[in-house]
Amino acid sequence: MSRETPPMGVLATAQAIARGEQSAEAATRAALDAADAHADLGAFVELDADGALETARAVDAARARGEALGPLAGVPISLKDNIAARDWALSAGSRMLAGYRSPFDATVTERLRAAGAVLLGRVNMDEFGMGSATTTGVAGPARNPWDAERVAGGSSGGSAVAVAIGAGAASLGTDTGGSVRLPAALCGVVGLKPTYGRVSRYGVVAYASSLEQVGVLARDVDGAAAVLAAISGACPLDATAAPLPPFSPRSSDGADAAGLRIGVPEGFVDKARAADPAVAEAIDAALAGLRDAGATLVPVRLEELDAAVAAYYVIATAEASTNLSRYDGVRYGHRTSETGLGLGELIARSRTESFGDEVQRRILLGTFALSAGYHDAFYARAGQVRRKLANAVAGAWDDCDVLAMPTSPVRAWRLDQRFDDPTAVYAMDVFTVLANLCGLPALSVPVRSAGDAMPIGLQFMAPAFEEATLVRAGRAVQAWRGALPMPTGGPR
Amino acid sequence: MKGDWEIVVGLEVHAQLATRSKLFSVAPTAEAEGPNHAVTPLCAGLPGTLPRINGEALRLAARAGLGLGCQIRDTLWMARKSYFYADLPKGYQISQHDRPLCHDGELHFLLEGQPQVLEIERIHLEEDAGKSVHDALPGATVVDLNRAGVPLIEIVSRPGLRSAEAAAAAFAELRLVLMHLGVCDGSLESGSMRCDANVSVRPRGETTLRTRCELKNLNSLRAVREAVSFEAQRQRIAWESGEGVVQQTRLWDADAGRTRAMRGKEDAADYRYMPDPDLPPLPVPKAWVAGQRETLPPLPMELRRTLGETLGLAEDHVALLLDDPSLLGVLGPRLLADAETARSLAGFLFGTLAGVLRKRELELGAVLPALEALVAIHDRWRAGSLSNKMLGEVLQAGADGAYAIPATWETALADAGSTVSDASALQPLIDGLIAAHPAEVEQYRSGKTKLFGFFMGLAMRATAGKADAAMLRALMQRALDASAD
Amino acid sequence: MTVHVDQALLQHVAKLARIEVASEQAAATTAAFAAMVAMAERLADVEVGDLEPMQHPDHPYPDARADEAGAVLPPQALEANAPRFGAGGFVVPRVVE
Repeated sequence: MSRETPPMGVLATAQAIARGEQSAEAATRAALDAADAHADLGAFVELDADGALETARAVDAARARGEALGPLAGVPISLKDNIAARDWALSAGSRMLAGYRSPFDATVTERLRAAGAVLLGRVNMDEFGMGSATTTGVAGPARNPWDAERVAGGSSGGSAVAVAIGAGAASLGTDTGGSVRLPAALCGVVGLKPTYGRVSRYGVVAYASSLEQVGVLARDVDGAAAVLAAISGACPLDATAAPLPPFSPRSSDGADAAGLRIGVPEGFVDKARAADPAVAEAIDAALAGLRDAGATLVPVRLEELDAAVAAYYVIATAEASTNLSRYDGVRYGHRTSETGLGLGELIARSRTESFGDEVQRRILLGTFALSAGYHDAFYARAGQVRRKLANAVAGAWDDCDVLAMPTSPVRAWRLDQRFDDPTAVYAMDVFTVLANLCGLPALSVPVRSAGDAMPIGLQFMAPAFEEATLVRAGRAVQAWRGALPMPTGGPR
Repeated sequence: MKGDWEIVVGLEVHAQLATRSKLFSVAPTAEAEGPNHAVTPLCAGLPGTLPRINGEALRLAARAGLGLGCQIRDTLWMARKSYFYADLPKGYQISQHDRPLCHDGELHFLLEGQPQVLEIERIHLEEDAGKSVHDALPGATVVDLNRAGVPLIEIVSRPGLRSAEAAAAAFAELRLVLMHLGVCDGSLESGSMRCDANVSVRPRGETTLRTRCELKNLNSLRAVREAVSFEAQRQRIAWESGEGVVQQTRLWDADAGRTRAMRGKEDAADYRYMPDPDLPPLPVPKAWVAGQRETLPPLPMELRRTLGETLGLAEDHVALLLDDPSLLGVLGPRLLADAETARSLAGFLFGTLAGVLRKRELELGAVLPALEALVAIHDRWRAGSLSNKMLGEVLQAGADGAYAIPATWETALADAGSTVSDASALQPLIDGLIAAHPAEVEQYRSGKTKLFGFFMGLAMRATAGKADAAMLRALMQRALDASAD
Repeated sequence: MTVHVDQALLQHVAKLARIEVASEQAAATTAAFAAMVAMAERLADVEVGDLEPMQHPDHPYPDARADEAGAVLPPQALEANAPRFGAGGFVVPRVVE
């Protein structure tokens, strides 16, 4: 499945269209063709080819008339299936929402349209974002484009696969505990999770409200930054969206590592070394490369990393247990076909029939953590641990500009790998949940794989609203690393 | 209560805040044209929707707290209260939990003329649920979400009331306070205020509280009084028979005149409260609170003193004025100007005008939009340029016309013209009357002064009721006394 | 706090969550649930003192919105997604209060 020339990124596509070197229609057809060619990877849940081509032709017509084009005019972009687009289906990967159509646009969708982007369709995900591999959704698993027998990572696996195969220059995902960065790392693309509040969550099917953000998956750092610039900014419909102007990437942020202080938390890379030595080697090599390019590596102590996963899962599931209470089969979504039930039974039966196992388990854990007798020891305590972690990370910014660590402790695992208990998969989030708990921006950038072809991601975290610093660090990695090959396919 | 038992009552009052839009969505709060016609995606709990708090609701809730002497917390913390119900669209209600906006206040009220105090434990802000309609379709319940998300405050008192009458009086006063604060329209019929009462009984002298029941659906003052009274008797009998009282929620059935246990509420509730992660804590600055406190209007207890004691208005007129803050809004400055005008105006509105309206089965409220025009009529009458007869005609003409429109009354007043207050026009008339009734003049002069009214009546009739009564009286007096010489 | 996770606890939580756990799955679900609770119990190992629980990132947030009424959905848009709709509303089994 290799290609002669890799598909163009966000900026190159937008530029080519603006200059008339390529039509938006041609760019869109290329993206749709790539999606069709790799349909077996399960990236898309639904393509809106007609709608996409219509938008593309409108962009071309506008250009022909000499009208000003939006910053993303003609750039094909896909949406994770938990981001509402008016009149599209919206399933969040759940049987619960089979047949549901959103009567409104998410704020990010509206902003993509305003920027001229071509919306390709809905991409695959774990049910309600609850998973690390894109295997729990109703549409079936997404497959890793580098080895179709391996997972794509999750929960925004469809986004990562779509970008990796060139079915769109970028994709919007959501990141609650690493759901943008993890699949980006496992599929070899860039994943950017903005600061909490940087992007409106209005129109995004909620999993864990205090943790999640819409993020961008793209082929390169500047592509992700350009999309973030288009979707970010204050939103009158979201009380958690920061009252700040949109993110504005600055070319002056530079691309070189010189002077960049990179905090390296002690023990993090070793944790990956124990799980997958190739990951540790690749991260070590990248950090050494950045140091050689002029960055300073600063050792940083961040304790309680294991407790971060526990805190994350308690908080996320507690919030989810209430966020998913609206799915009761009364106003929309799945209602059991059984008759003669009372209201209470109808609600419970409808939920049980249509929520998958993992979603049910997480609702149970979250309900438990909030219930009488357990609230203080679990939900409240998780909030205290969260505060402690946030305080520790805040202290690190005295000594460094970014924190660096692996995105995932391992490379993509096999789809048929069985995990003895659900928490074994949760451990994959060990490096990513920190940014969500603290509400900080984080970026996963592909680095060269040391052993086989399976991609590895290096993650940076930055202080709140310092996405520009992430962009700078990411550019430095790209400069050191050079261009990446296209996915090789691999055994199926 | 009879015998050696004492009633212990605390109130939980829900009041709808007088906002244009709902608490978290832009859906209008005004009466909709049909079921589910005032529903945004958020009101229906559609996936992806988020709440954004209405600043006016926060302001009104804080004013309610300030009017009741509460402390106002420096941060607004909203919480999710989880339970499943068909008319609860998100599966949780956004409310407040352990950090209510207002706490520790008191309600002052009168019971049989005696001042009383009820301690207020807390006032919190929350959204209403939708409505379950049970009689729209056979065998089914139909959910209407027009009310879902309407802003409410819940006012929780301590169990400080000791009789059904006190409960009703406290609720009545609370209603007036909220109306005068502009927080709630106070309409019990439309459900803008709903009262629940926590009722228990205990032998007199016992200091601990016994098991209580929560009475729901007390939608009138009468319902509060009767339900509390019934429930107290029921509990007393239950204790006396040895059966005891089970803590439960009970509905007041006004038709049957009894309370009954609510079905479907038997689960011990575990609401799993948590801070709403969609609503970060919102600062409530002290300076802002101080500004709100400074702009509080006078409240009913103070108004009662001003209107009753200082201005000397009749007790029933005071009650009528208090029952409609919009009346006071227009009349306030006029009433306060001087006591005589105040009494005259109250008598005009609640006596003369109300009488005319009553004959047409109209309430005073129906003509409120024209209140200023009515006040102008009163002023003309009081100044003497409108006779009693003319006043009656003006009021009848207005009430028979488009009475809610000021222009109707203005026209009626203009059509009435003015009393004849020109002495040169009245004097010949009086001279003629005296000349025509020598016998009566004689009797008057020999001390039968009651005949003064006889002459006044003749003069009024002769002027078709348009004579300026004061002027006529002075001229008549002079003429009768003068002819004595 | 060490929690004894058994099927009774699971069923209690499931009832609160309106999730039905069939008896044939109860053992497996209880085991998975127990593993999740055990992971969560690690929170007890962290020294937290009297730290205030963090419920939101400490970022700037917008003020309250102005009280302005805006657009609502046409009832047909609600009906289009509703499992059962009639008499102008969402139809559910008869509820007796």
